[in-house]
Amino acid sequence: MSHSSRLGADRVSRTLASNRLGVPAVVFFVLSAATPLTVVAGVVTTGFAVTGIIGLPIAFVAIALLLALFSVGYVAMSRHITNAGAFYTYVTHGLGRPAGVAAAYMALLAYNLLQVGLYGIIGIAAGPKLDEWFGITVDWWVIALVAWAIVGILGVLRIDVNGTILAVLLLAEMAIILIYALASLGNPAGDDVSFEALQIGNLFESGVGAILVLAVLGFVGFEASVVYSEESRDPKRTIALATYISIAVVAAVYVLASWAMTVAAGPDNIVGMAQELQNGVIFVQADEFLGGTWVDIGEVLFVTSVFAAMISFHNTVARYVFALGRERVLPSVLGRTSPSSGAPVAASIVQSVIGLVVIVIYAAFDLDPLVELFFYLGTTGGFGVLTLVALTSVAVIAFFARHPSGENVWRRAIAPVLAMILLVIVVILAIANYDILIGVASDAPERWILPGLFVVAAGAGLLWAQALKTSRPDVYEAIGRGANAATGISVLDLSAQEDEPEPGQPSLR
Amino acid sequence: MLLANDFFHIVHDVGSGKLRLNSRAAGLGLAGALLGELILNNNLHVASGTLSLTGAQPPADDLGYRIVRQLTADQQTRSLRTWLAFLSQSALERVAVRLAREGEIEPVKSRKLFGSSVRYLPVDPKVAAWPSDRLYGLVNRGDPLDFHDAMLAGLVAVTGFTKGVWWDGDAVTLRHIAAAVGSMPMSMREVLAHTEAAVGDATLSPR
Repeated sequence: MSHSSRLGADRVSRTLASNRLGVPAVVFFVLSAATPLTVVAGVVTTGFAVTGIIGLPIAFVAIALLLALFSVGYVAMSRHITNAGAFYTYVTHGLGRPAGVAAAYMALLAYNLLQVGLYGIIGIAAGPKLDEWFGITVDWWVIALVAWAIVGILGVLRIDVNGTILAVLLLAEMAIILIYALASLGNPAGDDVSFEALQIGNLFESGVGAILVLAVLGFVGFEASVVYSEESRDPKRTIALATYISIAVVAAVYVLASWAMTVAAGPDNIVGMAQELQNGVIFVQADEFLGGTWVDIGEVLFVTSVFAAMISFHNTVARYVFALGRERVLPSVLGRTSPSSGAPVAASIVQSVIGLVVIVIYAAFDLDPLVELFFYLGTTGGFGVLTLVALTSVAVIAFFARHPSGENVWRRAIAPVLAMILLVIVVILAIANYDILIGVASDAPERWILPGLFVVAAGAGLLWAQALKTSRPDVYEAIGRGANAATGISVLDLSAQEDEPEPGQPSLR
Repeated sequence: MLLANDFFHIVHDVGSGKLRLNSRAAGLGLAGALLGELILNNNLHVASGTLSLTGAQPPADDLGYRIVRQLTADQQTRSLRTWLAFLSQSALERVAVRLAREGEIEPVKSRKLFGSSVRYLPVDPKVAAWPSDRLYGLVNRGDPLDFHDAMLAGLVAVTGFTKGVWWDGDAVTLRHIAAAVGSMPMSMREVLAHTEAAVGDATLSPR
């Protein structure tokens, strides 16, 4: 028996505390989903090619500072609400249930876009290696379907990629990015290390909205730190510190990598080079400065990185759908789990079906996997996350206006208001520059359709919240409590417990 | 019979001794069952997510006695959710030890690639299969359930194991369970509600 006969007075707290997470653990959990090589070799390179703007490195700096500022209020609020895992919980508690459901639908759309977009790049990442090593030449969508099947099966079985494997992959990716970057900086074009891409002036050029969205895309995942709020050793300190460290680490890697690319190619040539070589830029540079072995390592890590990102986003979506099914905002069957694995099976299958439909459509219409699938959907997902961050910043202000106790004025008012103003400006710039972001003519319909998807999702959420309010008031009342509250999805009759508020749960408007 | 013993048998395979329910949900279900035993024994009362001891005579069974002592020793921690989390960590092992001591199961060591693992095989498969078979029949026939059986059925449902007992169950099965659960004292319904919430939370937790 594991249990000793001596009973300490606070044995319960100590036993539970021994399992709690410290700063390094939370940083690691957050970064393990960051898959930096996907961003550096996929997003940054394609970003240079499509937008034609070189200011991405300084945009990473700007967005890192802005997200850190946003996190001040965001992390503070996570201590005051349970089920702190998702943007929609914040929006519900800050701005009310209709806005919360709208945010939930927007988040579902954004994370699905991010996940599905990756199917566009896996073929491009894995294709050359399959050809070189096994002599197999296949269409991108064949590789995408194989990847899709693996992700779907892992999701249903709830086989999360082992934490140690993720750690090794993460460190390997970071190391290879660092080596590539140093090699590039050591071989500057025209023997002149140019700081042009790091000039603040880039942030005031036209098209800045486009590079800011691309930068946000690199940081997606930082928002997950608050999930560990209730599991952290010191809720006041651990999560805040871990969030800032995660943002800083990610920013340092991306700034260095993207700047080094412009140095090696020359600021005037990087766009042309990226347009010609697409995502190959980073590997062509590595080949030139380091040799083929380093390219092989990088290309293999690129494939594993995209894979890890796919699995990570698939699980994010599945958990989101599961949580909403638990609350019956989505059909309650989606809130059920597999007994043997505890996996949110139905939710996982729904995400897989969405992925399959998108792959089939892109293959059937012979659309471009890199630009039209990976880049369009990925950047639009990034734009969605940006919009949700902005919406959440408003919710944080509204929440602390009603529940000011326990936080100082910097955390509950000054920082959130500053962050909100800046985020709204970035969202407006992003919409204004959407044509540049996706590289189409300024009157092309896509530049309105893609960001407009979030208006549709939000509208659907508002309508659904209204419908729930009239037809299922009990369900409506429970919105925002998440799976962390008794939802009565199995056999419990909730009406018998209505007069028992969740302990520690601030009342909803 | 004791609630946690029955639940233990229900979620384990009679033939192989393997766990049929994922371990986090099983641990939480057993934790809920252990607290349910104390409520049935009048030792414990739950209201608004907070535990209070009644001061009644501790149960005769050793595990129940130890948990009452733990509850008494740690007066600062009164949250039902915290105790569920705490008990769930060791519940599988502690209930297995109790059942092994009563001679219902015996540990079988098997060597694996890395180290060895212990499984608990039922001594008499008929005894181990009985709680599940009995519950299946009671609910399917629509018989009235006493608090013990209602709590057991409720725990099976909130841990997501309904199909593991009522493999051919339908909406009528669920309605019977819901009716039985609804007839239980508030303390027990709260334990069920918080067990369900904790199981959902475990699914959401990326860890």
